[in-house]
Amino acid sequence: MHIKRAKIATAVSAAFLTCAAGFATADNTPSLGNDPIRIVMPYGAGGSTDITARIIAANAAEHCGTRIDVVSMPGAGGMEGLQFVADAEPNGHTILMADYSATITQTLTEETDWEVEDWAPIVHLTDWKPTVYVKADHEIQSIEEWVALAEAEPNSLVFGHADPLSLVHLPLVLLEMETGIQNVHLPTTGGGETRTMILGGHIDLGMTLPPSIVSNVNSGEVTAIGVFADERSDVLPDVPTFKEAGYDVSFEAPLLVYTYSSVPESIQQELSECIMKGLESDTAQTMSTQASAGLNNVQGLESAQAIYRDTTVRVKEVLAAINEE
Amino acid sequence: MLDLIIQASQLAFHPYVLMYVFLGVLLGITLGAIPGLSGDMAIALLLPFVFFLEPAMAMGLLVGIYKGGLFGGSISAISFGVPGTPGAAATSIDGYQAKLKGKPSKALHTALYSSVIGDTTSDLVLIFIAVPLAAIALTFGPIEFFALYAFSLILIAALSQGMVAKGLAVAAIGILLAMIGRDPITGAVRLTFGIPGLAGGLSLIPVLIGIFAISEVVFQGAKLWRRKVDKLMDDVAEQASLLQGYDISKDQLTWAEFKSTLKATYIGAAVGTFIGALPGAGQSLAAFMSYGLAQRFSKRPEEFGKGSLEGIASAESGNSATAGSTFIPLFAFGIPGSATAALFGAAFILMGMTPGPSLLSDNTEIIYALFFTLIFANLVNLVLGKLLLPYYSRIAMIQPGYMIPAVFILAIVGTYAANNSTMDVWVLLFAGLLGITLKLLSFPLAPLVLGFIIGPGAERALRQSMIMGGGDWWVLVKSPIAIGFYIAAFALILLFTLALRAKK
Repeated sequence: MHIKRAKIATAVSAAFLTCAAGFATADNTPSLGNDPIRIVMPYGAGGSTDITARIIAANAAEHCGTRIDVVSMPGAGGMEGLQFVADAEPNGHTILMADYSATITQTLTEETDWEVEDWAPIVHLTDWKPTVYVKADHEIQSIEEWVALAEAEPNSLVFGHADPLSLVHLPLVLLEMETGIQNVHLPTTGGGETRTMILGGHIDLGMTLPPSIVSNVNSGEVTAIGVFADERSDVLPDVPTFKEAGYDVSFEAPLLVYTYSSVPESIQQELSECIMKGLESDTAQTMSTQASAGLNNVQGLESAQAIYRDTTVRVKEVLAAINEE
Repeated sequence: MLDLIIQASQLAFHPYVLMYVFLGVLLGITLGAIPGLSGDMAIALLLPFVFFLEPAMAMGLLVGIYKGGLFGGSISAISFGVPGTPGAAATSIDGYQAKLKGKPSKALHTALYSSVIGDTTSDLVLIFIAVPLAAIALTFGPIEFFALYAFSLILIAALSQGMVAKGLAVAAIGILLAMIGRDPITGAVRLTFGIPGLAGGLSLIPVLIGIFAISEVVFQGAKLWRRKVDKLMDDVAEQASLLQGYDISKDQLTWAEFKSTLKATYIGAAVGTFIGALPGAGQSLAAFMSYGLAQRFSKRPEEFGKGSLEGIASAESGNSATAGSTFIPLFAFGIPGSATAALFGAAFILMGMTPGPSLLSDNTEIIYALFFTLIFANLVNLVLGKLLLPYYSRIAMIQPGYMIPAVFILAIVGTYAANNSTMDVWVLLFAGLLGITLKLLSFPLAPLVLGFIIGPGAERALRQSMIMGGGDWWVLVKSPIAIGFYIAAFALILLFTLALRAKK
């Protein structure tokens, strides 16, 4: 915790330094102008998304030619942050950073002033890999054992995940569609509560993102049995993917930077390029490694748009399947 | 273990951390001494800024304010008979009498020493009990948690100032307010009346600041303005006449007198620590209970109520001894047992630490550093208290006219800054208005806030239990731990009701 603080402090002070640099080089990129850019983040301050946003702010400013501020707006389940970006003047100075829960799932399931297509992804930062895990002494220790037990006794296994329809719940729904198995779905307050319930033996399985259980896996308290991704996770290299186990279910959660679609395409392109340039710098890569932000394969506009379209299709499929039930 | 202690002490005794502790205690004593302001309010106002400090520094500041505030409340209680904080109400009984008898210095020093002794006892109990309790806490699943939440809610409501019906009513309002927003199980938006800004529910910070700071300041301010100013003026005149012929050298607390109050102090420390550990019981109950017990066991019970130093010692020690133990349920289970603990819980969350069983294992160093800070802050409290006493007995005279705008501005800026949300500012004003209304109807406010904080956890645990039990209500009594809690809740309520009856 203490160390993480220090990192944020480093990132923040680096941001201040780059601000100064930003003003000096501002004349080189006149199209974005000198007004500061705001990255709105629909989550609370201090989380992993926050750190990623601050890495962008610290490193992209000199390339974008102006200061970059990070604004945390967790109000109304994140919808206040999206509303703020949607209402802002479409000049590219108010942009959004979020995973698909806010821009796709909540947009599809709630009444909003925008459609999924109104968000224009410009940078694809990283992919989070939802991971299923159990207590180390649980009778289930692999994907195969889970599926076998769930087939033998439907609805006997309790599966803890964070909010319903969140990125650590939808993959479970997809797997159940694929295999026909049935589990008891237990929403929790988040990764922390899921982990406590697993450790206390109150529930059988849980889903989370790898960084939050790495230390428990390494200490032998829990076993990660499978990852819903095309490739294994860097931090949990011994854990197989569900594809390896023969189930064609992969549901990585892309973390994207968006503008609202009314922002002119030239500005979208320009922002995308200057953020990419900033994140490719050595400082940004060092910061990312320190903070486990996973920014080692940042992709630009085309990749971001493609993955956003893909994810939208998948989310719509899962939601439709849920509604049929 | 030794490594850990060394690392934690390095964190805790960093010069900046020490500085923040000093600053916190100074602020706490100051605010506590002003009627209508309290340490809780200061902590609520400072919450948004906690994020910008290193955790050890933020903890030092908050702990300092809390402890300073607990003692500070007794200054105005003794000097003017106006308790600066609710917990100091029992202190004012004998404290003000002692002062009227020309013994303000003796009274204030007794209060200071007993406060520090009670507080330190309570901190030690916290340090040695929270760790083993946290290990047990892992055996708590949704069923056990619901029992614990129910136990806490019932106690909180039932014990609030002896007004069972009103306590339950406001706790229910708190739970209802907490239900606005997203359904914890289905994720559907509910009770928002179509207002999109409410989809995420009411934020904790504006509700806390609104209920504690806004309503309290407006209410106290108005009350002081309209009625108490005259009374205070009389007091000042009275004090002036007293001071003629007042010889400070005859008003020093002697060693023999200090020793004579020790038994009362220990009773207060024990009672306060026990009551403090119960969710919801609170400072004023602890103070009055230890006052009653100390009187029963005193060699000179007839002096109680007439300026007895023992009376001051028992009340003040009982009040302050809740300070450490009130964190036990927060550290072990993530359930705040008091408004102060709730505020600290919010601060933990803002600093990236989740209160509950994993709090200690995930943040061992900083929590041990907090333990050091808790003890150290008591020493600072003692030293600063002694230095400030002569000056601070006058602080109750600050005009509410200066206080109200200052608190209002801080509240609004602080609320907006926390989430960059204008909706939160409206929630703040609404909460303030609700607080004022309820106070005017003499409802206690603490159960509302605790209901608001505990409500979502209780609902979630209940519904999780039901999901795991396949919809069968009997699942709730399938755990021996849960049954234990239901029985304990019932027994404690019975006990307290009988004790209250006996007192009347």
